[in-house]
Amino acid sequence: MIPDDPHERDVLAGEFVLGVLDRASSVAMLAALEIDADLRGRVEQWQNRLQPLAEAIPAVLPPGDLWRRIEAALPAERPKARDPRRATRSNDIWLWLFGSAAAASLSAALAMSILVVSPREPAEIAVLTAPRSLQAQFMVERQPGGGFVLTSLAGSSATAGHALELWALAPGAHRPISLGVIPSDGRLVFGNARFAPPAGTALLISLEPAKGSPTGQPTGPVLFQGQLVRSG
Amino acid sequence: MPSSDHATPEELVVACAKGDRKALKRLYDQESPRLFGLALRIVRQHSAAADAVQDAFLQIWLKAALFDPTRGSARAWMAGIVRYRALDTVKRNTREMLCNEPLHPEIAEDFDPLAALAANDDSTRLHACLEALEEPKRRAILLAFTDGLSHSEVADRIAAPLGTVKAWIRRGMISLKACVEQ
Repeated sequence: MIPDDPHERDVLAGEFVLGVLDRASSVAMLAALEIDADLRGRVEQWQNRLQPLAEAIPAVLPPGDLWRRIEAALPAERPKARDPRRATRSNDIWLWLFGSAAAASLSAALAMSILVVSPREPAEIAVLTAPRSLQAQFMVERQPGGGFVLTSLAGSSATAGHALELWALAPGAHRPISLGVIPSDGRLVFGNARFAPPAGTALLISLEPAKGSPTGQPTGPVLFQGQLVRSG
Repeated sequence: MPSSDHATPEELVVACAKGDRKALKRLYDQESPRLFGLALRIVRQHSAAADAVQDAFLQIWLKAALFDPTRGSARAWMAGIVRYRALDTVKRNTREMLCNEPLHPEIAEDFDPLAALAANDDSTRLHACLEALEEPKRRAILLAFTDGLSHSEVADRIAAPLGTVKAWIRRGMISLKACVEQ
């Protein structure tokens, strides 16, 4: 659980930057950072506070061939020019750093796909958690061929006679659109190569009747939510 | 000019964002020993540290446009990337696996981060605040940060109960924040 108390949030952020959290807590923290700007700010402040200590650690010459390895790994073309407004959005760096890192932590295969995809096209990913929870429940990721896939990370399922339904709510929009009812195995493929939800789109999972919402809008409680993040 | 000899790390990262590979090379020349030292201290093994730094520089190149100089220094930005990668390497593999390879000889076991901090004029505040902490809290925090040890690894290292170590680090961090912000 991510605490509400500002003091407790600060302690957690400090422990995260220090690196003492175990891997499960770190991954959960990463998931929370994607949707919690206040927490991101606290992490950033801790990094600044402790930076002199990082600078105090003795420098060591890296292996002589390391630059050649880096150069060989660089993508052939220049990085895509970005909208400068995006670059000034303070949270982008954390969204990227922890967005992609969270993914890498959650699945090696997924990490590979991000590494492979990122030089050419931005990876898009969302980690869905229960409100105020640290536990990542679902992950949404753009597939290399286009479209998205939702996968269950923790085996959450609907109670008997109900179903979980996935929704997208674009920034500024008032009504979510349905992306489909989640099959019992927790895996749902949706969208295609042209389906391009804007960055910051919220993904929500609500509890619905067995065949999905009869109204085209969520009728039950929102159990899990996350935000779509671009890592490129 | 960004790629000139006197460019700051911030200018070089901004130049990377525009696709200037020479700027990335300059950044590497200036910063890689510091960053490699940081990674090596955490992963304690030469090839794993090189992998972490290689991955970090690729990320620096790809993500340079996301760096915002108004939010902090480029060095802190890069150190965050390298540290995270190194810590994740350690957490993914068990430390025992990594320890099968001999420790890198340049990792000084008697490294004293506090003394190193004292030698740096820019870090007097953090140094004073760490000095003000009680010894076990200071030791636990320094071990965690510089060597990338988890709660339980710190407890093993200093032969103290896990719960005690967690409490030391927690209270130490609270005191540290209050002191630095005074």
